Amino acid sequence: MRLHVSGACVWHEMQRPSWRNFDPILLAVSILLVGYGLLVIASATRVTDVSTSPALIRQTVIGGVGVIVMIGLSFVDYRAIGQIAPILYIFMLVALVFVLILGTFVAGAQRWLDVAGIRIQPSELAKLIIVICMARFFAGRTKEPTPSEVRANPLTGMFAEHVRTNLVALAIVAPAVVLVYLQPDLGTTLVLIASYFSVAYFAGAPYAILGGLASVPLLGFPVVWQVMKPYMRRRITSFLSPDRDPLGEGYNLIQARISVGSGGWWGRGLGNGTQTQLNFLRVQHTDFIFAVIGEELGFMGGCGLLALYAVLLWRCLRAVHLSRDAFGRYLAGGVTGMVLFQAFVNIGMNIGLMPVTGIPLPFISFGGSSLLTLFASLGIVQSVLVHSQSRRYDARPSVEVPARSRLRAGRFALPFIPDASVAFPAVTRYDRMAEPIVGREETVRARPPVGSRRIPDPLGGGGIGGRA
Amino acid sequence: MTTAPPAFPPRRSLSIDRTILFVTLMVALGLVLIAQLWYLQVATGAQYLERADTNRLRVETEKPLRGVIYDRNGVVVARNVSSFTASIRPTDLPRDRTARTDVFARLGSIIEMSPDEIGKLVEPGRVDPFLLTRIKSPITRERALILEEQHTRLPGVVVQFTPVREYPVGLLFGQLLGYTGPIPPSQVDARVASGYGPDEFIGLSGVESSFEDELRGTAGRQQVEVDAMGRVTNVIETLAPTIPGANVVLTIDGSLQELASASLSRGMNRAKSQQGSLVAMDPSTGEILAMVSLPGYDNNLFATGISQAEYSRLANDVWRPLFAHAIGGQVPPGSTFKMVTAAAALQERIVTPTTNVACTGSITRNGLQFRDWTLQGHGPVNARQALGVSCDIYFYSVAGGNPYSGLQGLGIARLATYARAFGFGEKTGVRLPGESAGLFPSPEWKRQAKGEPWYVGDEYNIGIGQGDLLATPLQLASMTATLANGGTVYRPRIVRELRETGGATRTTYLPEAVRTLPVNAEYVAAIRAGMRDVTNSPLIVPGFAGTAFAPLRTYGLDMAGKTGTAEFEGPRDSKGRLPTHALFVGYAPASDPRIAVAVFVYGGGEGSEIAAPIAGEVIRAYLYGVAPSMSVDR
Repeated sequence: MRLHVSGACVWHEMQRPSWRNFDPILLAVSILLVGYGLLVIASATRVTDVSTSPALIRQTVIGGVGVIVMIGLSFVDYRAIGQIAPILYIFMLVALVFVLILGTFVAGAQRWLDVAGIRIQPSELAKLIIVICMARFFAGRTKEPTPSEVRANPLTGMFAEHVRTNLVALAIVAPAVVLVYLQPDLGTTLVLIASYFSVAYFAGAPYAILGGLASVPLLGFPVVWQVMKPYMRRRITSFLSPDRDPLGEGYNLIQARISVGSGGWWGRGLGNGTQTQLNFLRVQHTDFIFAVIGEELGFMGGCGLLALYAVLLWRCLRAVHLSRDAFGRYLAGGVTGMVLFQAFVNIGMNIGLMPVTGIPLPFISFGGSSLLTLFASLGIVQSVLVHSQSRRYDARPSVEVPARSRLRAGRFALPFIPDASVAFPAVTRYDRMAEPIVGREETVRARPPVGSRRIPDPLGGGGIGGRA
Repeated sequence: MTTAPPAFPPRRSLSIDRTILFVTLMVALGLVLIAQLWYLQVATGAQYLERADTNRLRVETEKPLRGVIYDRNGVVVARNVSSFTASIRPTDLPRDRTARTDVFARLGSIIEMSPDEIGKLVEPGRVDPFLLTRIKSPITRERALILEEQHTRLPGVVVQFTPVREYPVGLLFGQLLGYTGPIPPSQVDARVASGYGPDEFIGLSGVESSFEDELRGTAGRQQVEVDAMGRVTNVIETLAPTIPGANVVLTIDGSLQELASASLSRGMNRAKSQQGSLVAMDPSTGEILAMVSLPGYDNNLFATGISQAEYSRLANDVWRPLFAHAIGGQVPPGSTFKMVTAAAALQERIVTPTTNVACTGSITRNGLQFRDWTLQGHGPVNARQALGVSCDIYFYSVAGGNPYSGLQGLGIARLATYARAFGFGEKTGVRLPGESAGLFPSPEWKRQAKGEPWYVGDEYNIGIGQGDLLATPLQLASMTATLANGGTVYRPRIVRELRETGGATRTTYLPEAVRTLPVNAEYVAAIRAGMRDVTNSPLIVPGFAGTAFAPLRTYGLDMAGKTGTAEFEGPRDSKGRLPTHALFVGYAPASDPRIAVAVFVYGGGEGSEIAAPIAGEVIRAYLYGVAPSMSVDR
């Protein structure tokens, strides 16, 4: 790949953001997805006597704004965004609390804030902010075990460190998760958790931890069941047997299934789906928009959408791969995981593989907050591509926490105290990172002598216990 | 290589490992989605397409407009006027309980009902959720418009424009036309099976009921496309055309009906009677020209739904205004039956037309005295004279034998044969609901019903139309018409023809001769002569004029008839006599009869005094023109 052969680049080029690395395919595929969504929204919100529905106009405008946001964010160095992560985090918590206090109720849930006449959904933005915070957190938790530590307890020490790190990460996510859960919004809650998982995954968290955490709700199901709100329980029971209450809880699932199934190979034609046009399908321009695609554009339309997602995710993964530092990798990885999770759960719900959760279909579902958040996420991915090779940052973890300062702060220091420079240190310490980027010798020089690394770092750079 | 350790291996391996695994996961999830999509859309797609069609396609029935009813002169007596009904199709209500209650509350505030009341009407399990359930009818046009305006906020609520019946002369035609109403619960299943909507109105009484099939027409069926709110968006196919109900032309002459009603009412007032009935027929066709039962009711009360109080008042009235006494009431025919006895006796050669029976005022048989209505007796009378003066002794004798002259009586069996030939003891078959058969007693019947043996006295009583003998006014009118036309029993008819909406005749009902009397024409002539004497002869036997001569003298009619004064079990008067119903049967003109009438006034006293003038008025009006009536033409 281009970036990897860019070792041939001359020095002064490295000093600037490399706009050649801006990914036009990512931009194109996101615009294609929004266009696809607009087409389907147009069909789903069609009213006989109005040529263009207000929802369509709104989504088009927000889509345009989103593209601008995406391009605009690619100008911003992602590490600068990482630097303001604590502010974003606090902003997010405040917004979520505000939602609970002042939010507008729609269909029994308090998810929206009316700001200057615009209804925004802070929980959507929270998805991205959690990715940013997690990326920064994990990128900052690099740690090199001292030889004595390793000698003393080679495996346990590492693993315990991983467990601790992930517990702290969960503690960072927890307030947001709880606040969103209280709205109640099970879907976004799950997306927030998925965002954590994505970043942790790309940050090299051991599979044992990731698997263990994922199995907690399964093993602790009786407890989870008790904690769940009644509507959530009903959704699960109706998912398991939708025909028990075909006109009530099971209605949407059944109708979505009928819609998708009746599409056949090529669909019934845009604007011709009876389930959609006659409103048997509910919430068809938001959560159940995939059922509209299934009905009106058929198997081919559905597979086409999946193909677009595949391209999108591929380009995001490419950014993971090309990123020269851990923070960038985690950012891109988190965004990839977040989008994948949302797309899969939403489509799964539409075709009867998942219970009903209010997760929008990325780029397709009507909804400004969601669309803007997604474009912002892609903008950050572009930023990673564009900026990760710039002169001022080398390939080392940009938010590496020196072992010294971490020790000062204590292992269980609260991460986001107002003076975050200790537990949540500055994103970059530019002066320390003035080394060439890709030169092997230089990089190796920055590492400890190989001989001292008794334990080969299984996780590689960026993750806990290693550094790039 | 040992001195230059790899710079990136750990990072690369992590990054690549995790990326590869992530891609693997991504592909796996994608494949899961594609597999399920393929399963839903390709493998089982046809099934879902069908279910989608089930969702959107509905067969709607379009109710036909009910036929209009005219009298024989083309005057409208039943028609349709518009009314609005608020209904709910439960399946289109919001699924959410609170949202549903909201709809009930909103609807309730508009049509002034409590939400609970509405909720109860559409409770699951109580009604078919896919069909319209009537919530309130009628609602005003204004409220209907408000409901229509707010239809987006009232999912499941449907405003129906429903035609309801109006009877311009309700009180005159109450029992005759009957009324329409919701299908009785017991009939709903059968009616729905034969194509009715469960909320439809059907004829529940009178002509509305007996001509239901003709009046209703055929409901059209259309395959329509509906949206999730249940609103029709598109008509896809007409499965069956809507055929409006036939317009029904009655045999009734509205003007005569009105006059008959007025006359009967006046007569009843004179007799201080609470109940009476009258049937006028065309003797040559069996068409019923007028049929009145008093007290009556205004069937408009039922057209838009009668209140419980009003209904109770009508249903609990001892004089039974809802009951068509003219066809359902069973009354002792009294002396009006004597023609039957005479016909039987003549035909069975018990007597010849000239045979005299001495009337001495009473016959004593087995120690029991059977009296004539006049104790002085009529002297020797033949059949014609006996009818003219209504001599009881004569008919006792021919029915049960006369111990003084040794005359052998007919006996109950032979009398029954003739009574049946005249139509007694069985329904005439007029196409109206609620007809009674009357009762012609037999020894077996008496043994079973009363546990008593048969006496000669029973034959005596039946010979003069008393005893246990019961007949409906319609049967008496039919008997009279049979005599009037010379011996043909026509089935009484209430409808002349059915017409298309445009006015073209669809069906004409022709006279239906049920049977011919097994009585020779000369005997019928003798009986008719006797009936003519009743109204026309000032002197039949010394001291006796025709029983109805005096009251009908002034009418100047060429009519024939027979009075009846039938005793019934009731409070006796000061002289210990039983109360009597007043009856009269008659036809006119006597030579070429065009109308036959039977009049019954409950407890009316003397038939000649009370019933005969009523019949006279009706006949006169029919033959010589009825004054233009205001109420019928309005």
